[in-house]
This record gives sequence, structure tokens and C-alpha cells, in this order.
Amino acid sequence: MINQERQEFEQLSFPEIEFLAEEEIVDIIPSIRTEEEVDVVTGRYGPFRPGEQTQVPLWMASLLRKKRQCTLCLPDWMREDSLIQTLNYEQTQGQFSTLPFRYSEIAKLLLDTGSEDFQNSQKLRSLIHDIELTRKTKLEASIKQIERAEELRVVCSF
Amino acid sequence: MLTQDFYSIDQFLVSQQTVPFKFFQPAESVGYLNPGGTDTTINQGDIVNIPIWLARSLVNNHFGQILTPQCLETSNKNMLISDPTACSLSEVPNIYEYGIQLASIGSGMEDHRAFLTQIWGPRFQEILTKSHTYNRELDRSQISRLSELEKKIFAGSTDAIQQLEDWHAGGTEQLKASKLAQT
Repeated sequence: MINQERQEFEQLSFPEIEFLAEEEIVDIIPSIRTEEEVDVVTGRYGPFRPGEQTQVPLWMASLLRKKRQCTLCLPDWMREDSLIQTLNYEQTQGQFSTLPFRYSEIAKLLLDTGSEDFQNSQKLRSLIHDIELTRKTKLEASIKQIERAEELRVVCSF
Repeated sequence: MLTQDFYSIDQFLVSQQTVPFKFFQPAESVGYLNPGGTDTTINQGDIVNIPIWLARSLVNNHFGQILTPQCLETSNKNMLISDPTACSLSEVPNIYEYGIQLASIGSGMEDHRAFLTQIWGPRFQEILTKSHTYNRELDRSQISRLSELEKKIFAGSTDAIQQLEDWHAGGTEQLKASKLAQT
């Protein structure tokens, strides 16, 4: 019974994982001015100055972008050249490259919300998708390396 | 899924499955354990099929020895090892749980754990691969070849892939309370 409850707790749905990914800190360029800091549970952000790049949680960035009160900035790992380099690494090396833990969810949120802010959003989507497939294939192939009958825990999203 | 869980109904039911057990000592008044026998006493050297939970206790008290069950005999093992993905486990639907419980007893049964790992890897990989291209109308025969554990994994995999595709596609969806908030 206890084990079953723990398993149910660990089986998060994709919207729930996306919700957790919204805590990621991203860069934005606000188009509004605020005099005071915004005090939320996870911290204080602002005050915002038009044109001045600042860091906020992804949920706040998404909210401001939907109100057209900011412009989203691409993280360094999500630039086209970085993604191409990551994809090449994934395709040639046996190990996984270094990406944020919830890179897929973060990329989806950024591209869905602020695709107009990025020049090549379709290309970025394609690269992210290719990286996901490559990592998934690599993970499935690594099952052959199971040598001991122990409980296998996948500790990161692929 | 294969860890020891006192509250697991599935593991409890698997422990009811029988294994051939050879008695080192005579056992009086338990002849009913041997349906084919006529005596009320099990004699020394008799081989009787008894539940795993009883066999475990008897082994711990040195009353006898567990013999290799038919499904884990060398001939069947070799057939499975030669092509793990082609063989059907429909006749032994709980082979993994059965083998793990046997291996946990010891008494010469530890090798079954390595055998199960050897067939588990290729079959698990095949399940993951097939779950991407699963067609409910055409692939029922493939599902019938899986063990109970493998069927659960296959169902979970296909559901997860469908949820992932739905999430990627976006669109409207019904918001459900997180399991953490549910009573």
C-alpha cells in the first residue's frame, strides 16, 4: 500500500511537469515600468524598466508575454547553434549532453508563448524534437546494458 | 515493481503458486499436500508441489530442498535465451515474480535471477519499441504473448506516449487536481 502511494505520487502528468518547469528562471525585456518589486512566494522580482533585461520565473514571463508586456529572450542553451552542437553530441557520443532537467517543457513553453520573439522558432522546435528522439533512442538502447536484477530508476527526463 | 512489498496483493498471489519440494525428513499428518498420494504422511525423499511461502519456511528450517520448476528447466530456459522476443510467456504469466520469489529463497535458486534479467532486457526493449507503433486492431496477437508484468508495462507505455503526443499537440484539456491535492 505504501509503495503504491509512492508510485502514484511519482507518476506526474505532463501538464504537472510543465507546471513544475515554469519555475525556471528566464530572461525577459519588459516593456512596462513598475516602481516596486513584485513579491511572490518564490521571491521578489523587478522593479521592471522598459528595455532593461531582467530575470523572472517562466510562469511570470509567460504571463507578461501574453499581455504583450515583455519580450522573451532565448536561453543560451536554446540558441540554434547550441542546439545543433547538442544534437551532434547526442548523435555521436554515448553519453547524454548537459541540458536543463526539464528542457523539453521549458522549450515548449517558450516557443508556444513567444514564437514571434524568435527568428527561427520552427527550426528550434525541430531541433528540440530531434534531440528528444535521439535521447529516447539512446535510452532504449542502454537497456541492453542491464546486468543486475535491481530496480531501475530513471532519474531524469529524456 | 519487483521489490518486496508486504502489502502487494500480486506478490501474495504469486507466493501461492507451487514449486516441487523434496522432503529430507518425513512429515506426519500433512499427506493432503500431495493430492496424488494415499498416505497421511509425507515420507523422506518424497517430492511434493507446495506453495512458495510454505517452501520458504521449510527451507529456512532445513526440512528439504526446492527443485527446479518445469517452467525454469534448462530446456525452457535455453529456448527463451535463444530468442527472448519470439517466445510467448502466456502460459507462465507471472514468470518474473515467480522467479524472483524463488531466487530470494536461495537454496540454489539464485541463478534464476540472472536468467530472468537476461530475457527481460530484450523483451523490455521490444515492448518499448512496439509501443510507439501499436495498433489496437492489428497487434492483439502480440500482446497475448506477453506476461502479466509486460502487459502492464506495455499498457503504461502506450498511454504515456499518447499523453506525450497530446501534450505536444496542445489544445484544450480538462484540468485535473494534482494527486497531491486529492483526498
